[in-house]
Amino acid sequence: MATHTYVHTLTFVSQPTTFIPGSHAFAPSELSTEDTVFDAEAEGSGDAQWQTVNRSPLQRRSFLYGETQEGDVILFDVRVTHRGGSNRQKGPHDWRSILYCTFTHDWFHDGRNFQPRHTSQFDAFPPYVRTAVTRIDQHDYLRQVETELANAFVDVVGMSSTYEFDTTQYADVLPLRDTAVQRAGQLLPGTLPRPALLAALRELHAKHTWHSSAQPQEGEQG
Amino acid sequence: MSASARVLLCTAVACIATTYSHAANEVAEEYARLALDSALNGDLSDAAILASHALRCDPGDADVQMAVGVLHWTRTAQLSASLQAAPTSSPASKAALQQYTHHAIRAVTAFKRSIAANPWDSAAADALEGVVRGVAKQGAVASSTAVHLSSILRMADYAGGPTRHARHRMPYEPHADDVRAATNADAYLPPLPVLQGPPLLDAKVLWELGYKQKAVRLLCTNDGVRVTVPEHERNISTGAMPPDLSLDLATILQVCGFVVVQGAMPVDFVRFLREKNNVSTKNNVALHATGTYCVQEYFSSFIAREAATQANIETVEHLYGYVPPLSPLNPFARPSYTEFTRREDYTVRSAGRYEYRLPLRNEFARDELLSNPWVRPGLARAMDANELVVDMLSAITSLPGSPTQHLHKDVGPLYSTDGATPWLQQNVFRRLRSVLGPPPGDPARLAAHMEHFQDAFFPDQFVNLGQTAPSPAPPPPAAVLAEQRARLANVTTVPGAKHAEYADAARFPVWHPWELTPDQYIAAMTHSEHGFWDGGHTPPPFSVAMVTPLVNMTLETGVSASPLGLLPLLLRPWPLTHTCTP
Repeated sequence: MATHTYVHTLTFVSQPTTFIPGSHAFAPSELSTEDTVFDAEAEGSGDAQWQTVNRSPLQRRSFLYGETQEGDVILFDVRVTHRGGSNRQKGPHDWRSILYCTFTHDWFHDGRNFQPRHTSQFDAFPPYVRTAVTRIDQHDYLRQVETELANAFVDVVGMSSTYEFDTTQYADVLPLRDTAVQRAGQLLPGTLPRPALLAALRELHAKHTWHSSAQPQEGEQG
Repeated sequence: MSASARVLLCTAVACIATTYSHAANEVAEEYARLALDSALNGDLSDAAILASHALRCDPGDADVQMAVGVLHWTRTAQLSASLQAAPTSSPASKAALQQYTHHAIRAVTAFKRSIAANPWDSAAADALEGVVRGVAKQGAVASSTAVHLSSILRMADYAGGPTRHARHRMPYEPHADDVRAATNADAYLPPLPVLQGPPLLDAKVLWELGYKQKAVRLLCTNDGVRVTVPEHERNISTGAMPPDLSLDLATILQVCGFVVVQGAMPVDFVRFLREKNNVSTKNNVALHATGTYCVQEYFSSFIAREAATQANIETVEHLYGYVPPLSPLNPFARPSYTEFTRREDYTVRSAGRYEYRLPLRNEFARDELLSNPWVRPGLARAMDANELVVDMLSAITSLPGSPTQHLHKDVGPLYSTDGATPWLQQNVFRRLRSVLGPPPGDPARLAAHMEHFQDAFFPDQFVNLGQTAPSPAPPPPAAVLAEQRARLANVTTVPGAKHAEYADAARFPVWHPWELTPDQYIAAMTHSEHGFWDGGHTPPPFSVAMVTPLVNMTLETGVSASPLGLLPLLLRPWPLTHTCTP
């Protein structure tokens, strides 16, 4: 599901987003096969309440304009057919923006709209291998960037979260200091100068003691 | 002066006078709408005038080409009647055939252009198919015309499906029209209930019973898709959505696909965002220059993130002291589908319309956006999930003059490789509450295909599990449960299981964590807290199955209808609706 947050008032005149209702579940052509309209005044069985109308396929196309005031939000299924309206304003600064935010189940991955970053070695793989290693190459890219930053004396460990978030339980897993320290060691095998590593660990320790009562073990103070 | 003539005059002036693309586009679309109405009403002379003006304003507009196509199509229908009435060898017939060919070619050309301009709108594809069928029928009636008409058919290059672009973007199986004729869904839907209102409740009943199109017709009006947040509940920290209202919201989302939540975002916050956006953008634009072109150029370079682009602008400014004046937005610019090349953080959504990711910092990491009490509970109810993940946070900005966007869906099918599980895509966001089975002796022939994600069940696929006899294949295109079964067994699918025959999947030997007796089958698989399970190393959720007795569910392929008509349905109770609420 997606949300559109409108920061401008959009009326019919100012061309709001247009939706085809029901198109998330049906093809537009299939929607157009429904040639009945509901008649609340009709008496009798359920069938009597639906009157057949004679319309051409083109006349059956039904759009709905999502007219909004500022502060309105449109929630929509990402599979619904829609289109943004034109911006009829003429001033050079009269751009029109909306905030777009999608909420999904945790297993859903939008592989269509934006491309993840990859390493330069990714290009050297043949296409079928590229498909296979898409996900792990992203991890490699991140690791390479972190290593380069660490070599440039950037506190990479301090930039990263000290929580381990369990996406199956939707909970933070604590304590995490050991994991983070281990990660720091893995990240910088022989690349980070010793003082920087110690400083990173000290900072990590200071952060950790803020949200955990667990005492550090001996030997981990560096 | 008639009303249409007045509109014609005014819009002609507007079209000529305008220097902005969007105005020309809007005028063209207005012309096209009028032309379409005239053509559909049989007034072809008015339609021809209006269509010609529409073409002058914006020949690249899909609606304009649609109107032109309908104009010629209507004329072919008129000529077709006269062709059938006259002897094929008469001079009148030959003249009519010449005209018929002329208009058919133009209709096909216009519809193809309309499809090219907007591959997502199936109306043009439907219309093109109508022309093709008419031409084919005409060729069958008069064999002497076959030579002329076959060339039209070749020109149409229409394989009964959507356009090449649409296929590429959303690779689906045969077009809905191809399978519509085979649908017998109405044969086993329960009787229509008497609706007594309110519409929202009625629509929910219709939807649950299977009358989904009627539910859409009933509920999805301009007022029906709106929910208003009460004034006293608009405080982000203290406001709350009543459960009944969240249920309403979820119902509207389920039926219509979208809902307008009025007042969900605090106005102060919205104005703060707008001001910040304006200041930021203006400052960045001012670094280059002023004017519409520079705004567009700024966004383009911002999105492209190519040093060369940026360097070029700066070089030009350095050398000449100014940015050379260029034309405003191209009035006939259409989004090229190659422009949708996925970028990392920025992309073009249509002419003059840009989307860029927002950082999860400062004003964009606020509760108003991420845990809004008027957004999140409704979505959680609609998606049947306690936990939701924000997959995208971005801003879409349309520049002044940007034309109407093309129709589109924001995502493609869940599984790019399969046409086998379309129904899954419908139910993947919600638990499946009920299952409709076909009447005995009348196999379900649902129009299930990738585009509309119908629910379709072929229980026969389960009958022969573990046995040597192959299961009968459902009439393609169809959905089948066997695919789900293989996935739920946490085993990858067997080779060929995603093919249309499905026989391999049905013969899959050890398939299921549940023990089934031969008189049972699994009728629904999408019950789980987080929807369908699509792999991973941990076991799939186990509360997903609905084991249903096999009684009355024996299907016989190749039987189009019971010889007794509806009698079998009338002679027994209706046991085919199985409610399965976890």
